[in-house]
Amino acid sequence: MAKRNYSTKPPSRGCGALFFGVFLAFGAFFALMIIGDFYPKAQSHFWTKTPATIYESAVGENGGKKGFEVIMHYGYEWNGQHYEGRKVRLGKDTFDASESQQVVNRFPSGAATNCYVNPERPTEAVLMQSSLKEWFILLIPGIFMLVGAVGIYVTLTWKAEKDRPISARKKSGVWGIRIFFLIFFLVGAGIAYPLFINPWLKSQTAKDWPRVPCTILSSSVERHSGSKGGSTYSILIRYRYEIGGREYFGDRYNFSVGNSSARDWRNEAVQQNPAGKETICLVNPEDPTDSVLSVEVGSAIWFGLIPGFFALIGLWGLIHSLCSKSNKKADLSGIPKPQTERFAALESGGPVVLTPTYTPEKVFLGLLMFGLVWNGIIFAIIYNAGKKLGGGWIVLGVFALIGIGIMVGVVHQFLAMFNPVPTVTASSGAIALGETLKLDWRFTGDIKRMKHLRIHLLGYEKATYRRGTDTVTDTSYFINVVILDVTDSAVMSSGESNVKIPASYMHSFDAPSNKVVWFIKLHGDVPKWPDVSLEFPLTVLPRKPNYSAV
Amino acid sequence: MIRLGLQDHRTNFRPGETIEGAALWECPKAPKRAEVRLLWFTQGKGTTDTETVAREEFSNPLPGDTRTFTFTVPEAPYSFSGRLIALIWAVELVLEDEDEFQRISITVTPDGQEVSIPSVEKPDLPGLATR
Repeated sequence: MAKRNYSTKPPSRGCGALFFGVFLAFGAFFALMIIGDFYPKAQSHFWTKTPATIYESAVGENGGKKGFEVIMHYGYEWNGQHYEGRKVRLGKDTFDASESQQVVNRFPSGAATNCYVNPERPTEAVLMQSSLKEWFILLIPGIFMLVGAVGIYVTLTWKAEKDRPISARKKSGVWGIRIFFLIFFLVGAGIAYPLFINPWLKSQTAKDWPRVPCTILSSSVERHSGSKGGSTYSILIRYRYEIGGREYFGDRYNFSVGNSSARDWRNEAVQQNPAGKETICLVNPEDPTDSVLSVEVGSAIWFGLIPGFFALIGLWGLIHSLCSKSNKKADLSGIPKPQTERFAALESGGPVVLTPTYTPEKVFLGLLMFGLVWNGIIFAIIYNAGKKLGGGWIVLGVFALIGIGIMVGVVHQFLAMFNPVPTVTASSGAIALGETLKLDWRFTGDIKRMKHLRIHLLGYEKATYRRGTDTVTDTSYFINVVILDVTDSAVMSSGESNVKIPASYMHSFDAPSNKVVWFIKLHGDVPKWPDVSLEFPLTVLPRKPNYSAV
Repeated sequence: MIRLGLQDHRTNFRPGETIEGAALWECPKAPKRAEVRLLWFTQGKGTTDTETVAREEFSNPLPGDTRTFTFTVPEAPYSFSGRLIALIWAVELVLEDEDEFQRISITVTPDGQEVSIPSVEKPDLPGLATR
């Protein structure tokens, strides 16, 4: 007997409001921090645009520190008085190699341009205004603030389920599941893109870039102390190259992003590229400021496959929920339309060949496709990365083992395709409670290989619910009728049997989260070979009018 | 004050039968909307599923009013109770914007008794797709 209680006890409103209040406060705090940081840089947007002349423009090293310095000198007139400026922009005055080069290209020596002058202090001027794109980062604390504000509103106005009419409640649907999988996909893809996809694609593209002689200016492994005592490392490298007689600087060893604890390959890279070494770099033909020393990806990139795997699960879940049978609206009786249409089949009678839920061919093809995609990706990574995988072998090893497991399943299903094939015919496409179902089965193929055949009528309840972030499904069998249990191959090959559907049971019921399922299970034991194992869904209808239960 | 009653206090119905009842309310001002609904919902381990199968809205409701209604009971689903799921039929009277309501649970089966689903051991058959 199902426990009949409404599981709708509301959380304390005070606690809920406090919880979301913390969200709101954190969001507001970080928003203010960001505004406090960005606002001074954004002030140049209120300054006056004024003609200027560039006197000097060059890229300089930043005293051995990370990044490049732009040496800039320009002059401008304000109220008839001459002023000179050296500031490129408000805020950070160091640039990465590509950025510094672009600034120098944009403001070459002798060029006439515009600068932005502070009208209240004309000695203060900049050449570039801060990008307004940076303000998009406010979206992050903005989301926190939104969640907090909406959470507080919902908490304070929340009405317990028991205080609301059941007919006014929202139906359980698949939207929550879709949003869950969408978030899973977006987060996974969002992390995998910068960690794996983007570096990988760039590396592949850069392989075709022109090779240009370059000189290493400096190289070292930079150590970053972590908050928990550990250290991570990055490569700090600078080099110089010429395109069309013009000098450019680069600071990118490869396309890997971020730091990691892997120090060996970085040390090796630095030892192979000491300061003063004449070597080759690859330069983007469409943007000479865009260059790289090595197109080999570091081992850390393979860890980007982990969020990629989560993104695939999210994508699968999203597609599955979009194609799910539960999306088809149930009719008023809770029986999906295709089932009610079978009323007609019941009325007209007539035998129907039952279709199994999964055939060995379908499972084989599904597994094969999945296995080919999965193993293809793993093989491509191993083939391209070769010995450079480093610590990434651990991650890839796990994925490769999963791939082997999938292929074992493919072989198993392939063998199952050569089993004897049953054709099961029912006296009707749908059978009402209290009626007798006549089953006819017939095998084609080598039936002698099968040593034991069992056919059962089965039924179970199926309840799906959320536990935390998981969707859990529980089942409970309510009927198990043995229709056939034989070991004689002559009896196995074909035959018929009658089974009465008890009138006192529940008919098939199909709602989004709760179901009553009836089916025929056929299982044939084949020694030293995959068994014959098929399930045939059965639609059990309500009792026919005028039927009296015994 | 809000009241809902079924004729002869009946709560067991067979498919195809008629549910007759009356709704009564006394409010300080006339409700914007007054409606009776025939519905089923699930209880138990799974997330609640619900379906309103019929509704009757009372036109021009007064602050104090009494109205009658009738519904025809659909053929399915039956009221049932199992180890995981129970399906319950109900008639609801809802006033205003769902702020006030009254509900009566009923049973819908061919013999007037809720179907009780037993529980059996999971069949000892290899390769069952469902656990």
